[in-house]
Amino acid sequence: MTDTAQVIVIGGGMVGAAIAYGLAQSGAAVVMLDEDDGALRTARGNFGLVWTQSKGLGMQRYQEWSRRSAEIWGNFAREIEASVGVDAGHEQRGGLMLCSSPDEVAQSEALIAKMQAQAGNMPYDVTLLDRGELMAMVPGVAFGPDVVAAAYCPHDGHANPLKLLRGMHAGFQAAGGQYVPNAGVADIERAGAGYAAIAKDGRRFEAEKIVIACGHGIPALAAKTGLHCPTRPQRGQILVTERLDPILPMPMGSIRQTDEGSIMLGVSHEEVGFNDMNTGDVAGAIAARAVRILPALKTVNIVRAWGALRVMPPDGCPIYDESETWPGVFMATNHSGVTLAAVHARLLPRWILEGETPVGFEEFSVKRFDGTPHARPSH
Amino acid sequence: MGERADIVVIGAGPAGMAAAIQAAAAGLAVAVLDDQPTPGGQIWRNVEGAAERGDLKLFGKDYRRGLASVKRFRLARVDYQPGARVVGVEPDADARDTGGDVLFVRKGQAARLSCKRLIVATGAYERPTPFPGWTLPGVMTLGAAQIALKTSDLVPERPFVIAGQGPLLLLLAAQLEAAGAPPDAVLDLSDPGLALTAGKSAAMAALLAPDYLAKGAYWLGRLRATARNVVQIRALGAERLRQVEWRTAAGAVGRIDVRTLLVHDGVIPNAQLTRAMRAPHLYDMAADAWRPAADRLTGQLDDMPWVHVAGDCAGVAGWAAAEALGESAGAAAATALGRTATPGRWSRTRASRARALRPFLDRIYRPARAFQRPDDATLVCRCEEVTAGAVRAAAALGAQGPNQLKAFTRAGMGPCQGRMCSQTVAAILADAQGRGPGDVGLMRVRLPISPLTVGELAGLNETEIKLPLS
Amino acid sequence: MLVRRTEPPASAAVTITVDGRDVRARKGESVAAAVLAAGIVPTRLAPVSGAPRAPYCLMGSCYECLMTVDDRANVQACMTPVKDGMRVRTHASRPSLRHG
Repeated sequence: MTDTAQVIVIGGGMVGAAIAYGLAQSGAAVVMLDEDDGALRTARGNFGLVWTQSKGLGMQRYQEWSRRSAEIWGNFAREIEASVGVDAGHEQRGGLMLCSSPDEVAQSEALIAKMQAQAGNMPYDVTLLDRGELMAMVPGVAFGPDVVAAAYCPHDGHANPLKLLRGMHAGFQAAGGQYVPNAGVADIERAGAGYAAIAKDGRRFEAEKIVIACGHGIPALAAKTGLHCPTRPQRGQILVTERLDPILPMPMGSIRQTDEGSIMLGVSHEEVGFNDMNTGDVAGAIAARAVRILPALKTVNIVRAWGALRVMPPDGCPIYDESETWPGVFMATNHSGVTLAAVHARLLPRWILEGETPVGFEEFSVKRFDGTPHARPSH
Repeated sequence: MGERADIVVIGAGPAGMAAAIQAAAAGLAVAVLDDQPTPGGQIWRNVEGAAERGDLKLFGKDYRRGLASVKRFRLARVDYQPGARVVGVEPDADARDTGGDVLFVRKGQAARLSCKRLIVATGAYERPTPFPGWTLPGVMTLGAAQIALKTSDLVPERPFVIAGQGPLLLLLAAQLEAAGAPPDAVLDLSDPGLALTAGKSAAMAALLAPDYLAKGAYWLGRLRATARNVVQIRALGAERLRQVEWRTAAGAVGRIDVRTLLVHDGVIPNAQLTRAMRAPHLYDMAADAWRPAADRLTGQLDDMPWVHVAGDCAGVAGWAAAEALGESAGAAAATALGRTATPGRWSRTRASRARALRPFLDRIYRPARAFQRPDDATLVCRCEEVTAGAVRAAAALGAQGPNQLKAFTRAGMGPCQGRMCSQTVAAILADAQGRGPGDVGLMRVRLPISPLTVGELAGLNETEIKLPLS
Repeated sequence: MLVRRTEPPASAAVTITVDGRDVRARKGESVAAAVLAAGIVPTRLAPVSGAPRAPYCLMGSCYECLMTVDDRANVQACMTPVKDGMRVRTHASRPSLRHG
């Protein structure tokens, strides 16, 4: 089977779906090729923060990019709801990162200072609250005695990642995009003035341009098209409680209450390759931390838990690039698919369709890793 | 650190008890974790209590027989832990077949039990029966009524109706009649032609197991008088069940005032645990159910040789097969650990006899279409209250399979973790995609396979990892 | 929904409370069985729609029988044996963590 489109987006997860949705909204003829149901699909394992504080340490451009996405997220969510009736559950009432010891407070202060120093024109609005100020900000929440302080940022928020994913898929199709599930891509070839993506089952899809945005599948396809993608999997485990009466007015880093009432407890950072199983010891550690934060959680039921694999670049910052030898082949990857969904949908289409990029966008190129040992990841 | 055993058996029904007795007789340290307060599984539920009450007669020969098995189990040298809810299994990290840990909750504490061999004997549960009104108080499963009768000497409040299909329909109707509470009506949802079209080979196989057939004929005779063949039912009422409405193939509609409605559509393997372990599973088309890929006699998993499955969780075949297969799994596990173990010499014969009947039973007791293809307005996920229509809409959006569909609809995300909806969701998706259920698969199951509290789970933090708060 | 064929003898009975009301139960049976025998339905309201629900499978599969037992919310009543003096409450769909 051959199909000709303007753009093929490879990947139907959080990054691929956002780009495909944005491209279709721009009026382009787009085909989104997605893997089968057994794909690693990090997009189904997200914690759901729309987060700016601490994002982009060491890369001012990423700090700004996250902040920009958080700013336009509300409009983006409203647009999806208006077009397909899916409410992504976005709230932007600020976010907290809790500290449990003088050490953690000192680390938080140091982080705030560094982020402020690199922030440039866009102020880094994060303030450190002591326990009293924290309790006043979230009345009715009975924190455990370990919680001594918190960093507060008004730009932070959260959303329901699964509804977001569904909304982007539905919005993509409503805008005329063609979704092809069970079409994991094995190869990319040159085809006339454009390119062809060859699915694992041999189906062939042709387009002028190709965007490779299939998470852990990117490195293999990038290598075939003159690109280089040095990401690795990093496991995160999450626990979810039964539905509770609303209690948490805003997300608190590793703990947030969803629009459905469940409390989500995250999240680990484990280097275990492509193993996405969840485990008793890490789940136990997450639960133990949750009880330190909110002792009343002790008798609440955990109904689900999972492990998912972040797509982690060496420096923790996004990679967006176009192949020099295969012009018109793009790649987009990062581990903040929810936070960045808004900029991915709104700003990347212009780059892909017209070559028009925001100021400083070239800093996201994979060239930043050329000849340098891979920096320590931050998140 | 947690405790150790040579062999852990999960489940104390016919298969689990037999496996434990075998392994213990071979001199191994055996622990049995069961979620019920007393041994016997669902088939022999509370058989000791019923004997004490003098009620064994009510339930027939098969139930009485369980008393001897439970007595043997009580005498075996096993570490029996009733009231233990298993939440997951973790294979040893270094090598997949040296053993692993069983994670469970008992008396409000989470614990780990390490073992070299694991025998999973978690039985079966009733195939979910979504139909309009099935969540109303007053609607229960047939199995629930049987458990209530066995454990509490309770019978359904009259007037009551039994609806659905499957051999248990006949058995329970007869048991309730013997208990002085005959159903006011039986609504038979099986395909009217099925019993007649069952093939010759199945009939031949059934000849190998004459006692089973005789039993079936006896139940059938007692039931015929009150049964009516229908194709659809609805439960009506606001705060609780008031009426059952039925519709026949010819279009006739009727209503019955009821206090209780008992529904049933056969049983399927309870494979939550082996699915959470990501052992490969097979779709059995005749049974319309999934079972772990395992050796048919020893129950050894094809992919995880340190794990055996035994009894109905390995493929529904009834208590006699379960007991025999439990014995052979227990013996195989003991042999693998260097002990001499010989399963009872009738094990193999009994297992194959009981299994011989399956093709016949599977053919005459096909799942009821009314339940397996619910209309758009019917809830399929009781926990998250997701309708069949919502599942169909998500399928139309292109969800590749049950996991994406779960993410799009929340079906399967509640406390039952898909036990009550994953088969239905897969069947609806299979229809939408023009594929078979075997190609579509089931949604993934993960640890913990049943809920536990945050406090209990914190007890599993044995390495005492202390995470920063953010 | 369910009725007792015979009342258990005093030696085989315990008393629990359901929403403050005394309910006699047979030793060894589950909280769900005792509650059904006492005719107490619904036992909870579904957490999404608030629709009335009651125990359904009695064997631990459906999680429909979740009740508050001795102050712990959403316990499977069908998997919890009765104990003398046990305090059971209905309608505990969405527990609250709020203090005061």
